[in-house]
Amino acid sequence: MINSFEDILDLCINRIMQGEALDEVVKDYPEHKEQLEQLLVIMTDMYDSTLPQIRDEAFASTLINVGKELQRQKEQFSDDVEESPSFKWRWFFNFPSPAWQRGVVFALVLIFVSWGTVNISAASFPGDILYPIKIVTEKVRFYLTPNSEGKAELRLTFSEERTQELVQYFEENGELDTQLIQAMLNEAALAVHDISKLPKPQRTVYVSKLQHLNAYNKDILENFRDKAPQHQKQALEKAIETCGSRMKWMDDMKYERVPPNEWCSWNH
Amino acid sequence: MEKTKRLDIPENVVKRARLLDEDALATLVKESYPFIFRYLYYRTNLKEDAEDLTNDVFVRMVSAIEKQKGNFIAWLFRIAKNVLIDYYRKKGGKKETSLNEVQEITAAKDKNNRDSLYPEDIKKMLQFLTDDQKEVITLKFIEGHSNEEIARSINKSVGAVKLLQFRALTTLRDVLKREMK
Repeated sequence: MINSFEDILDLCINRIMQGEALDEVVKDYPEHKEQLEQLLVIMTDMYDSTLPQIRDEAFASTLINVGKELQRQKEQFSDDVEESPSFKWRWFFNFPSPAWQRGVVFALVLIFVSWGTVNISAASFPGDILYPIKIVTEKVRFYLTPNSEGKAELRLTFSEERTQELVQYFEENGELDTQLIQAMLNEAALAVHDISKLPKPQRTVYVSKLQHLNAYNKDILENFRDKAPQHQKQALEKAIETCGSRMKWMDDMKYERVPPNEWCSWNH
Repeated sequence: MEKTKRLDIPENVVKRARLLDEDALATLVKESYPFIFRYLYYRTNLKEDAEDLTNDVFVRMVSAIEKQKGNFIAWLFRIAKNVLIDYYRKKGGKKETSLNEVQEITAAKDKNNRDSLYPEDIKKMLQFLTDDQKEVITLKFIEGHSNEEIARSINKSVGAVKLLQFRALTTLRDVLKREMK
């Protein structure tokens, strides 16, 4: 039940926000017409106002800082769980030097952390302290890339990157990182989405690129067949099988036996 | 006229973010950033301040997400509000808008035959309102929140939200009338 002018005003505002014209709305309340009109004109001016623009640099900087905070959280979590002996920082603050020297060293550390982290993280691998920043940086690059061609290219790059990380991880640990295998396959699958939006000549080029990448990924995985630990063999075979079935799909894509708007159903 | 896209985050994304899943957190930041930025933009003097504060909101979000309960969007806006309170506490006061500045808004709008107000114009107009009134106006007209969501966010009843909305619009009308005389 509507009791007051505030209720009527609110009702009118909601109707306008749902798409009704101001005149239409006001017509239903002739006894309040003048007052309603005055207030609703201001409301519509505000509602129709242009939205402030977001700077890409500010957004990217936030994503990077979120990545750093996430890393801190994860380190804290693993410290709590494992109580592993951690690196002692106390020596750093206790060394007997004048305050200004410590200040200079601290400033250098800050510069290193803020400017250098992103570049250094590019060479990091799973398990490295900077690896999450590398992943977040990749996402920033992806979000800032405006067109489908650029996005498709990045997806292919990321998939290849995961493959290299997979090889490196195996060399260092003697076992496979199944999450990396999944990430490698996912990036390739996501590339299809962006490739399907490209005009025909580029589409064909990118399907070929994807075909090569998929064949490369399959080769790498097949090389692990004899070396992978027994408990990982099943997951490995499944991934090889996925690559194999994708090869067939990609022939259909290349010759467009399947229309591009149906390519996304490909995934696995 | 339905202009404002509402912030809508699927529950499964929030659940994964609580487990510190990187993809889910990146999605949360990507989806929520424009809304939080806008909210802070209209409540601060400089765009750079709004950018810095938006950054703080998301860093705080990550540090507290594991313990997050209830409605995520309301929770995120509460963080934004607290960040804003800290900002004003440190800054020690707010910039007042003069009537001259309001005259500039209407003059520019008439002169350029603009259909819509610019973000800076809205910001200047909002300076005439109380904090609660600003909160209601930005959350409703800019962010597209419902009265119930706003009521939860400012800890008041839906009736109080309607009253604040009425008072805010009346204040703005009176300010504009005064400068037109």
